[in-house]
Amino acid sequence: MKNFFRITFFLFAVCVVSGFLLSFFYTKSIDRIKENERKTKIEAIDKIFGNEKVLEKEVSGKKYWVVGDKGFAFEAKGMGFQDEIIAMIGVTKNFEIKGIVVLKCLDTPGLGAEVAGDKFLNQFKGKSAPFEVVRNIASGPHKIQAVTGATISSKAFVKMVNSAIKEMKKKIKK
Amino acid sequence: MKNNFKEFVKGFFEQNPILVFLLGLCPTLAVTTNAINALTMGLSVIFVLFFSNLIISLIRKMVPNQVRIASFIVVIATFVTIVDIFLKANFPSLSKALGPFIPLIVVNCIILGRAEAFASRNSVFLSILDALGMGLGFTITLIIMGGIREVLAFGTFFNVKVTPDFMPKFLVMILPPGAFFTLGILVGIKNAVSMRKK
Amino acid sequence: MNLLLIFIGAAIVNNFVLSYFLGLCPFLGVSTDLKKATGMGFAVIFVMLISSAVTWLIYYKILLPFNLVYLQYVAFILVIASLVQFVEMFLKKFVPPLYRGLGIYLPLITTNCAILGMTLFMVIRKYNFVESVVFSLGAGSGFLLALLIMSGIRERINTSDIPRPFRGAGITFITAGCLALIFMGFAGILR
Repeated sequence: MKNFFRITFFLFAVCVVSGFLLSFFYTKSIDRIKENERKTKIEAIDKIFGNEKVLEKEVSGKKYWVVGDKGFAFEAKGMGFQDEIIAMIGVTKNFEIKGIVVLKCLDTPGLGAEVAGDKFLNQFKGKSAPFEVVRNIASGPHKIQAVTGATISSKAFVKMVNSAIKEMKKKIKK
Repeated sequence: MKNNFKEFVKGFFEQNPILVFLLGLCPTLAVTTNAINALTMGLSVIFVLFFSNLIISLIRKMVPNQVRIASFIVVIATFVTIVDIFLKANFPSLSKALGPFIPLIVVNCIILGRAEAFASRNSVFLSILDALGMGLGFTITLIIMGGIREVLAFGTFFNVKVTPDFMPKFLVMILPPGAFFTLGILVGIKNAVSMRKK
Repeated sequence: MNLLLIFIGAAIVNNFVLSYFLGLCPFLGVSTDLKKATGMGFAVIFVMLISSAVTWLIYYKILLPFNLVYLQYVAFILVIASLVQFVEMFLKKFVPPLYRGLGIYLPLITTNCAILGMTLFMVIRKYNFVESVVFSLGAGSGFLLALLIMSGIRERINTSDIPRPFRGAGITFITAGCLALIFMGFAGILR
């Protein structure tokens, strides 16, 4: 019985020390982590619109950023081939795409990850939703050419952009 | 002194954790798509290995035998979380690229293996030497693997272009099969060298 | 339909062993013969099922509401380690035949990165409870599948003439590479 208490006490002590240590590090770093997240978002918006004054707003639970009188930006999240993709979409007031910046994408480097590359993303510029993926050279106002060898990632990405724009349109109209 | 030196360098080649003991394979294969990711993973493992070996050899006489593994794992998980928080706060893009493979250091067999086989039996000083040596051996192997795969797939090393333009790019090297092929061939080379020495 | 996709995705398209490299240590260790491979595979499926359910509850009912997400790794690994121990004791006492089949593989599972990896992916992908359980079932089945195929091939490799330095681990990795190449062909299923 004495042994039982000794074992329990020891494991308990180890866990308590670990808990304290972690909460110490966490509380020290949390501000920095949040600041980083905010910074990458603002940087992405700057990349789309150039350096403009950015104002953070919220509409029915969804954050978005108003950029001067040029338009606004919002985040899109969706499932890629292997993992979550997060992107910042910038649009003009008529929901014409100004630019898209990928914030997170863990698909296969060299294939799926190319959806984060300029060649793929530049196709969106000046066009408006809903987009459609094609395999050969894209022609037409809504067509986007898939990344070679990564049709699945491309389709997932376009689907994500479409639904994010649809959702945003609905919310902004209210 | 000579003995201490031996504890330090044994992880580089003769007892290389990856090529000889086949430990810690999951990060070895998953994050070596380029040299930078490999280096980050290597340094994170050195950090965790250093502190877990240190703490475990400090408390080795107090730990009740029945909860040995459980306590070791809690110690390791604590330091892994610290690395994770540190990377998120200071190198957010690296932390995103490595994704779930940083937390998976917890179950990296190298760390628990060294804790069990070495730190729980040896003095603090030797345990630290062991951690640094094993960690460096691990990191070097990771960088070699990441380097080979990055050069063959993208023609770059640490993002610097190294191959001439006419070199074709072997994308398969960056994909899972490429990881297995590279490691298989490295293991073969290591064995061939060891056999010749004898 | 969605559940089926999650299952196939975890079991075949993004096979844990061949595309995420999770659970490689047991993959190399026990894939030497078919019988061991089957035992290990089922033990992993079993532990994965239980731990996905338990860690899901812990994450969404305890860690998230109390803002303790940073304790996630410590909590998950402790849960898995104690769960494995608990399952082992339970089987030994109440289902001895099953224990004789799976028993020796259970302690090895604690450090099997496939289990912790599965719970982490489950959180990252924000699966709900049912999806998580299906995902764990898929991941476990994928592990069993890879293990079975590999052990079948290795039994044949044993009788063939391989250059000496590549015997053992070397040729196994290269075989695994070929298998991974084959599994990449399944990617189209997920469309």
